[in-house]
Amino acid sequence: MAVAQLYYYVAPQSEIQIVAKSLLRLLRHHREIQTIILKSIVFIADKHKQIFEPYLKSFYVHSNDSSLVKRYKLEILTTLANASNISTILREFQTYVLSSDKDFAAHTIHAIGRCASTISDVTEACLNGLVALMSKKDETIVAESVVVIKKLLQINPSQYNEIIKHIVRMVDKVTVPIARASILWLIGEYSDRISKLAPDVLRKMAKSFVDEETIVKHQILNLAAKLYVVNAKQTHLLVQYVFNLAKYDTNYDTRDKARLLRALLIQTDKCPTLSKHAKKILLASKPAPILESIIRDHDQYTLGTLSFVIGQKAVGYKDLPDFPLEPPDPSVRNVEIVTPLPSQNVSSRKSSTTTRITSREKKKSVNDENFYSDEEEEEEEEEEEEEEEETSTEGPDTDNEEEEDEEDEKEKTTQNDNDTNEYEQLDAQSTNNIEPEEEEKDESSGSSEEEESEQEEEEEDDDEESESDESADDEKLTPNQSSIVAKPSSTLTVSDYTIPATEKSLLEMDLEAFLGAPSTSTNVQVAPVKNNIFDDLHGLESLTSTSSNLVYTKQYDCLNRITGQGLQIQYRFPRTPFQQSSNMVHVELIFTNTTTNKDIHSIKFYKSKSNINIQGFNQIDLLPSGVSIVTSIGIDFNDKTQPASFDILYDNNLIPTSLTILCHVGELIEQKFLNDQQFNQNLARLRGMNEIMDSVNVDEVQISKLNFNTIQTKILQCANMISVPSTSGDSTLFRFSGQTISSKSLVLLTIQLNMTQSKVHLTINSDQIVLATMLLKEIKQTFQSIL
Amino acid sequence: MIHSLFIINEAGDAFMEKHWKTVVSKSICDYFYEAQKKCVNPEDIPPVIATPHHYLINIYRNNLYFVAVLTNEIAPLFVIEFLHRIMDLFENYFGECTEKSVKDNYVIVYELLDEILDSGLPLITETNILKELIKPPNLLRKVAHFVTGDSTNTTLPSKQLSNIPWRPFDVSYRNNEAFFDIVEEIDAIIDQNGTIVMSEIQGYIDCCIKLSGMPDLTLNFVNPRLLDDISFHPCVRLRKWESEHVLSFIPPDGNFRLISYHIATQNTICMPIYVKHHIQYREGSSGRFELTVGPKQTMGKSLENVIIECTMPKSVLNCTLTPSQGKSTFDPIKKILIWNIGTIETKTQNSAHLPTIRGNIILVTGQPIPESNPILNISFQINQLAISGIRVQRVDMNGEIYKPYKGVKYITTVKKGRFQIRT
Repeated sequence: MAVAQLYYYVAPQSEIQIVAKSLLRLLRHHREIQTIILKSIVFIADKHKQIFEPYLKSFYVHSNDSSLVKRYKLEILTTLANASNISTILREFQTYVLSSDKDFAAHTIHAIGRCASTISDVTEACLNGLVALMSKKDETIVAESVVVIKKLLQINPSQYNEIIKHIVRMVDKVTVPIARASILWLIGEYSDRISKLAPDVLRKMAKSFVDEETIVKHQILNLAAKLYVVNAKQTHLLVQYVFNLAKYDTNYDTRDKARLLRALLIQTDKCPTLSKHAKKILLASKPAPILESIIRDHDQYTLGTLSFVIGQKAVGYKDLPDFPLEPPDPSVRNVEIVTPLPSQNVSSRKSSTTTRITSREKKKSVNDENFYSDEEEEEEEEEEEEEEEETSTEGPDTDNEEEEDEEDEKEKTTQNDNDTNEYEQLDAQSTNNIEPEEEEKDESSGSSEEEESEQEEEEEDDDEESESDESADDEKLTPNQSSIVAKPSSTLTVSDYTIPATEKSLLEMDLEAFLGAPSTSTNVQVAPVKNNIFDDLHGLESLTSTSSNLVYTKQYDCLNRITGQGLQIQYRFPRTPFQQSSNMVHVELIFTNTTTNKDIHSIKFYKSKSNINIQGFNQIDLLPSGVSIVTSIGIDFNDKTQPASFDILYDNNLIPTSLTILCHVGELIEQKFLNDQQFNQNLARLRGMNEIMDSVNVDEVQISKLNFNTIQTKILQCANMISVPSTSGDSTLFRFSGQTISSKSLVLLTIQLNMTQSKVHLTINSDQIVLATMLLKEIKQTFQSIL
Repeated sequence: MIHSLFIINEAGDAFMEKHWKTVVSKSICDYFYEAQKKCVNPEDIPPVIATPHHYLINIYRNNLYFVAVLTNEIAPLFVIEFLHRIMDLFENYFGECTEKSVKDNYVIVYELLDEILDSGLPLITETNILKELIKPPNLLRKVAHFVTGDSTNTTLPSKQLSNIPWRPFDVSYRNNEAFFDIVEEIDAIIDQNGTIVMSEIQGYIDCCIKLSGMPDLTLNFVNPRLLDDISFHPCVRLRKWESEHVLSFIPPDGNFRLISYHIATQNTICMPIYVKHHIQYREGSSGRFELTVGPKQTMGKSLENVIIECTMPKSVLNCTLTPSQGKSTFDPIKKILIWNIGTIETKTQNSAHLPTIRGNIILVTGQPIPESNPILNISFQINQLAISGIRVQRVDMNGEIYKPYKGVKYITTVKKGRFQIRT
């Protein structure tokens, strides 16, 4: 209804059509709703007839409609009547007239009258019909038809002498006062045509004058006066008699009227000027009355409101304002943009523009050189992608690889730089393709530049996929950034990501907010819709880290092809969170059929042998010869390095083949991002028993080579940890954080370089002290072996 | 904003009142009684009554009047719809909405009213959520309440947290079933000569879905073009319907009305029934009355529950009628003749076997002969046939792995008094 209301007031002519259907559908509801809807339709139909015309039949009256509904329907039918459909409507009306509900029949007659008056073609037919109705026995119908006929006759009196005569003859039969009054009025008005009958009627009326209703008495007086003017000789005495009767009437109005007429007609001496014109006054041609609808004058209220229904102003009713003559200021439609706040990180902009180009060039050359990790990794990944495309196995790493691919492409395009101090350390995790030589030239600023651009690329990818509301983050946008940076959105999110000082919760919220969209779009096949956000958060972490995952490429054998009769199984750790369960280590199994001519059928997970919880893989129906398939399993190592063993069945062998997966301590840890503050807080908590320290001796040349990137590379080789952004600016202190996958207990690693003594101090703080000891041992080995 | 609500029974007794904002004196109902007195028929009471300070909006259903008291301008349809919603809710809770059921469950009624309307503004009207908040009455709870004396709800409702407001999260059934009832109501007026003056079809699909988890159903029609004027349950994806003419939705749990549609007058429909009538009044206070009912184009389905109702003119004193099938009764006070025919088989095509009713009408002596013949209201039901010809092609389910049992039922019926034959 509200929609209909809007359409009624606002829509152009052409579109209002659609309102009709829905309003009609509402008519099928409860009686009360019907009533109000019909009332509104009456109102609308009055203005826009055409929209309801096709649905005329819906307004046909059922015998058990409530009386209000009937009346409204009648009203609508009358309103909708036009020359083309009048015949059907009239036929319908004829049946209504016969209805046992007399009140309704009377209304119908009234409606017929209105139709007749509006559509001249049918006036005659209507009149004939009404005259026929007058011969009915029921009084109300007769009376109503007389009244209506009277009105109709008034419109066009000249042609219907016969009808007038007929009506006049009925005056004795009709008892309903209003009908009698109408007849008398008719006689008075057209007494010239029925000059013989009229005085006789007056005579009869004079006889019964005392018993008549007031309205009839008035008409008798009128009639008498008119006759007196026309035909004074015959009626003189009669008129005087009537006036005398009226003089002693109980009704004030009647007496008054009699006095007036007497003065006008008989006592001419009292007001001579008036009496001269008596004839003109009394027999003036009167304008034909307009047959009004029964439901009117609600026009001033807004359609569909309470006031509209009750026809009076309700408390709190407000009129619709008129359309403004001037168009409103278009600026109000613009969404207000929050004024950008100066960001807390001041950019070292001077160097950036100059170094950008050089670093980019360098980058190319770097890539050309056979730098160990990058090329290898890419090759590997490409392979994997192919594999996965073939098998269409849904691994959680597909998106990461895609990301990387995109990145690689992006690297050739010009980049935007945005450098902040905090940023450098955070970004530095993705540094595997940075050469030491580069740093020698550019120092840290140059390298960080490089990384930042990379980081941005990553973020850009995210952003391009997401159309998330960056505008919400506008406040972080520094003015000078926006002037130079072509894609402000990327910088936005990056800066968002790196707010160091704010609380963790806020950060996480932000992360979720802007990562929600991108990772869902990339993870679409992988991630189930449930607990999406949680995964997304991890998805991001893995996303940012995978580019630096060296260990990812390490594959371990668990079933060699001889014992497996051609089936070779390798496993590796993709370092992404396992989708089904967050406290399982994600392990990818690579099944390879090494045979030349034999297909391996139905490889399936049988059961876990040790009491380690393992989430198995879906059955592989067919492994053709020479093909590899990658599947994912999740293993809950429970933060122990105990190997997990389980059985698989393949090729319809009844004897299960057992496999063992050995987990390195570093794989039991997942990245957990902490900011400086949080790191210190947790560090303070994990003192004493939970802290172990060791130091490694390195020679001077090597220690000079140790910078953030190299250290991070090393750490990532043995454990999946993330660096903590530092605010102190101490170039000899490096910190990493992570948490164990099963129990989610924090593992904090601090590396302190001692330049003077050529020592590297390693400190690990963790609840899981056994794990920490093993981790420390492994990190120590890495430092020793490579340096 | 709704200030108060009165529930008034047929006898004019306001047996329940509820005030949300300020207490409005019961005497406000006097205005309502006044309006009631003016009307012979309870249906004729205007739905909106204006009094000097308040506005009364009333609905009449099940012999009960619900009268809402307002003081301010508010869309009356909104209030009416809300009152009907309350009634639906009561029916849902107590099985029926009568004076007795309301009186028996005063506590729940007040609880419900408190929940659905806050400070005069409707709050929660979704039955699913309400049922979680306020448990419907059952015997066990009554006993428990009686023994422990504690009726407070200890568990926190969870359903409000569902991201699909009409469906709770944790639904599970052992038997997964989905039933669709396609019900069509014929709305018609047939005149003396048997020509159809007006005919419409009002159809709806009522579903009873008992599926676990979050199923995503799609409903395909054989001939979706038939439906042009539809109102959907909020769960239906409108875009899918517009583009593919497929109903795709995550159903609410339990019973609900999926769509309701309206097939307008333009397309003529074939009537499944015809009535031959012969009613005559003669001078001397008597008349003949004869009716024959026969099936027509029912596609082999039989007509069930055929009832013909006829309100005789006031001058009829009594009728002595003998039906060839079924039972007929005449109420001499209300002047209503009811002929309950029962089932009409289509196989008995022989017109001799068609149900007929014959007899005499006795008129009150001295009264004039009625001018018009009475109107016949017919109601019937045809199972396994949708008169518009709409058919469901298939029902698919995504999102869950189990195989549900799916059933579609077609019913053609007539809403009371909407199928009229003028004689």
